[in-house]
Amino acid sequence: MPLEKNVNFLTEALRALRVENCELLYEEERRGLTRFAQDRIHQSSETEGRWLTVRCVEEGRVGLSKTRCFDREALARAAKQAKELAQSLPTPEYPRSLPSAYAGSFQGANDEATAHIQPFERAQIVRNLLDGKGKSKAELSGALVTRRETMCVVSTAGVRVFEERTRVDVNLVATGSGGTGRGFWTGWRISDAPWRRLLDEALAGATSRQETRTELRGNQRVVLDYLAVGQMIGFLGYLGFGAKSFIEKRSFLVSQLGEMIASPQLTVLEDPLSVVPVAHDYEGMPRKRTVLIQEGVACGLVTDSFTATLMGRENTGHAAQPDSPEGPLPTNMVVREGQLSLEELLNLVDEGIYIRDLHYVNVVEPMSTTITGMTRHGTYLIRGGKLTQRLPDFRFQVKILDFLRALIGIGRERRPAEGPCGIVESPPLASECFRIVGAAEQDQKRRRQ
Amino acid sequence: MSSEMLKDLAVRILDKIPRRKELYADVRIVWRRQERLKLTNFQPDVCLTEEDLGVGIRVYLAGHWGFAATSSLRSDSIDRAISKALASAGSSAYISIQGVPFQIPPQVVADYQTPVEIDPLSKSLEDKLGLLEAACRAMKSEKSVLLAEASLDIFKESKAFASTIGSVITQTTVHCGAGIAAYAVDGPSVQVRSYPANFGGDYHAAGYEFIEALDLVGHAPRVASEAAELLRAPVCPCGPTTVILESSQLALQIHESIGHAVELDRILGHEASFAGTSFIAPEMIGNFEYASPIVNVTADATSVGGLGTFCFDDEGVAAKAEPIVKEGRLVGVLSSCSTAPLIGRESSGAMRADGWQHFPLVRMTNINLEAGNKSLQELIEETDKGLWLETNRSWSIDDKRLHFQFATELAREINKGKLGKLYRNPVYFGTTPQFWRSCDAICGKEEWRIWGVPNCGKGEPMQVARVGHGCAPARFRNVQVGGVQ
Repeated sequence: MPLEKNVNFLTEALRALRVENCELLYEEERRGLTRFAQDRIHQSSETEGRWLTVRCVEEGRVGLSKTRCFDREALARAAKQAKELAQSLPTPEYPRSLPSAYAGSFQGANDEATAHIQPFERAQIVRNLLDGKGKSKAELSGALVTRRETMCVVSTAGVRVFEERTRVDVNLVATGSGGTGRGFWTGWRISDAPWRRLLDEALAGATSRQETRTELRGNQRVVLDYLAVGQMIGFLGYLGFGAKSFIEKRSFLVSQLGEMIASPQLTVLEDPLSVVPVAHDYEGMPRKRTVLIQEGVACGLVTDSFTATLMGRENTGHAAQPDSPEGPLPTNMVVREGQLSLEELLNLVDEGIYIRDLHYVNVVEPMSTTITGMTRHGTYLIRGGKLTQRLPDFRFQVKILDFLRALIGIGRERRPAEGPCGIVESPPLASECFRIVGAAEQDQKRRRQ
Repeated sequence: MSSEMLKDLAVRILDKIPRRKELYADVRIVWRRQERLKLTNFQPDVCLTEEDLGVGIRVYLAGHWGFAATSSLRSDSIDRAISKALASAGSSAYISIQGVPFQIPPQVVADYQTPVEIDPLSKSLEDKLGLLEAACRAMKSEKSVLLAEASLDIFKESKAFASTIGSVITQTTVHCGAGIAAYAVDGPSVQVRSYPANFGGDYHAAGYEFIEALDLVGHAPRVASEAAELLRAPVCPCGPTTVILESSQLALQIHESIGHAVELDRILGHEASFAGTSFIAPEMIGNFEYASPIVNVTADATSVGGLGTFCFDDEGVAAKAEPIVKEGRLVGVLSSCSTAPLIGRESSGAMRADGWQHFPLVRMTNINLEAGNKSLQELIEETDKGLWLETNRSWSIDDKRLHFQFATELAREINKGKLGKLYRNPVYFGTTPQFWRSCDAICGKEEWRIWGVPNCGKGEPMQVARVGHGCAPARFRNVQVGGVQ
């Protein structure tokens, strides 16, 4: 449905509902997916779905109802349910309200070629990647996902917002005699995807030979490449830089806002228009660029209309989906680049390890920012400032803030990586503090390795 | 929407798919109704009702799968979805990529419904909110508890499946879950205790009677006082020791280090690009010593109350109870009609999709550790020195499901057969076969219960499955334990 038509439809629907203090959030996604492994496409799918969320506020209480049915009867039922739910709730100490009038639209990251890519075109890309392996015996697996997402918000308070955007995610893993290697890219235009570079990076990891087992324990000097940094910085954002956990006193930032929490080299922003731009939040408010860490000092966090009012701060426009229990979170984080090439970072570390990616990261203790996980897709020994032998993967347990306080260098090329709640665009980072707590067991007899 | 209506619709959509001799197709219509209520400090947090409806169409053509799905049941949307599913299957063949096998399941016509005593959707909002509010109040009576959370989740799903081999199946499942959590705060220290488990509590395939039986309000004061006690407790000591895992923690241990490891698509490398593979290779099935001889693990899609309980999977294969580990030996895996033939087996009936919008994947059903023969009291009394570890707080495992680390909310010292001192921030880690081989005692049927995991993530983009794990507390020797400062 064209955007204007969507907004008009929603506005009409809202009027017909005759409900006060009501907001309608319309979300539509058309997704194409091709997954492949061992030279086979094992999933090829096309999905289209749309949701309507009705948010009713009654004396500061919020009731939500979601539906995929769009006939008049279903919409009326959803509104009635949301209203009745709100009326049933206990009176809140801090009443909620809908954000005040705002009108806006954004289609600045919307690519028709990406939106309309056909299954056979995605299959052709997979074929090209497989052909591009050349003589390499590594097995390729991965996923290519294309999306067109539409979002509209209208409310009785006068909000009228629409946004349409596209997104591409490419994940490529090569498995070979040396282990695995990975290439990852995300953007909003399929023609921007750097296929050759992604393939080369994946193959490089798969073909580098794994050397003898090395016992490494305790604190290490490290270079984390951008994929690994995405996890570290993303978890920092998740743990500390959302207003809800701050208000609930569950955030490490409660005692450290305004304090030096990292090396003065480090500046981290939330930039909603970076990489995969998202201009409005789920309340239809404009998402604002927010400095989270300025030269090592924690100086900001992200809010939605409710938490901003509670904290007496500006609404940065980071409302999550209404049914999310997490509250506002940074979803487009950017680590400001430094001056150093990857080679210079390795030189700076001199003796230590290089880590390409992290796997299955989880929080062990939130207030100390302690996380654990495994290294993946290439862990190498650095000796004399050069990458030498490939190492097995390691389990780490790291306090993110300790890692960031001990930064010794920042790379100059930023690239997008996945974090736990969005994209993190980051350069590689070198630090003197990264704690290894164990090595992965040698693989059992593997058929393919 | 009634099961009959869904069934009629599924058959009508199936009839629209152009028949070709070599084509197999199935249609899956899924209707879901969910109610989620969460109070934080008696304040409404997320309070939501949700109704989901859509159709997924899967076709198998000349060795290739295609899938399309839509939330619109209008005729033009369905026609478009059918065309897209066929185009998706054709696209793989078009570029001559090697195909995948498919073992056509037997034809079946059936209906199934979760047995329910009290329909959870018929219970009034006032009753549900009253329960959560009372639980929050009971936790807040402890001074250091700054945050008291109480939540409940009701899930009802009706699904109709129709396939070109003449199978027509309708299934209605009802899941209920609830839990409480108390956060005690002292300056920069925060400790959490939850009941009956963390991350939303416990879930069963059952009606509202399950939530009532949890007695959230009755447990709230204990939960709150334990959170406060943890603030003052010393950090868990480090080193190898004997541990007894409480059953909700053991359920997650089974989930991560057995359940995912025995998914055949992972074993075959299909999930290599995201969640990872498995340390298991096909040739290890039947002769690999996974665990000590007292360990028996069954994938049982028929367990009463399990979130992984159904009558037929999303390919129309009948639910089974299949041994996975028998007297310590790996004997089975979780599989589908496309993966099982690759190792010369039949599908274990574990192909499951998240809603209508996803292609099904090999997923866990209820992966149960069979009961042993000890009482919990005996287990503790027979342990000279060790730790009792209770309620999961964090989990992580490598991409081959081999090297894991778990954190729990609390540890209690076991000294000369008695529970003693409380410790905070315990973690334990190990490698899957070594850990399971060190299991030397499992509690009996009195302690055995099935736990619900409603948020198992897999696939790319992520699909969420609802799975179950039955188990009783068990003892493991020589486990590496540590504490986070």
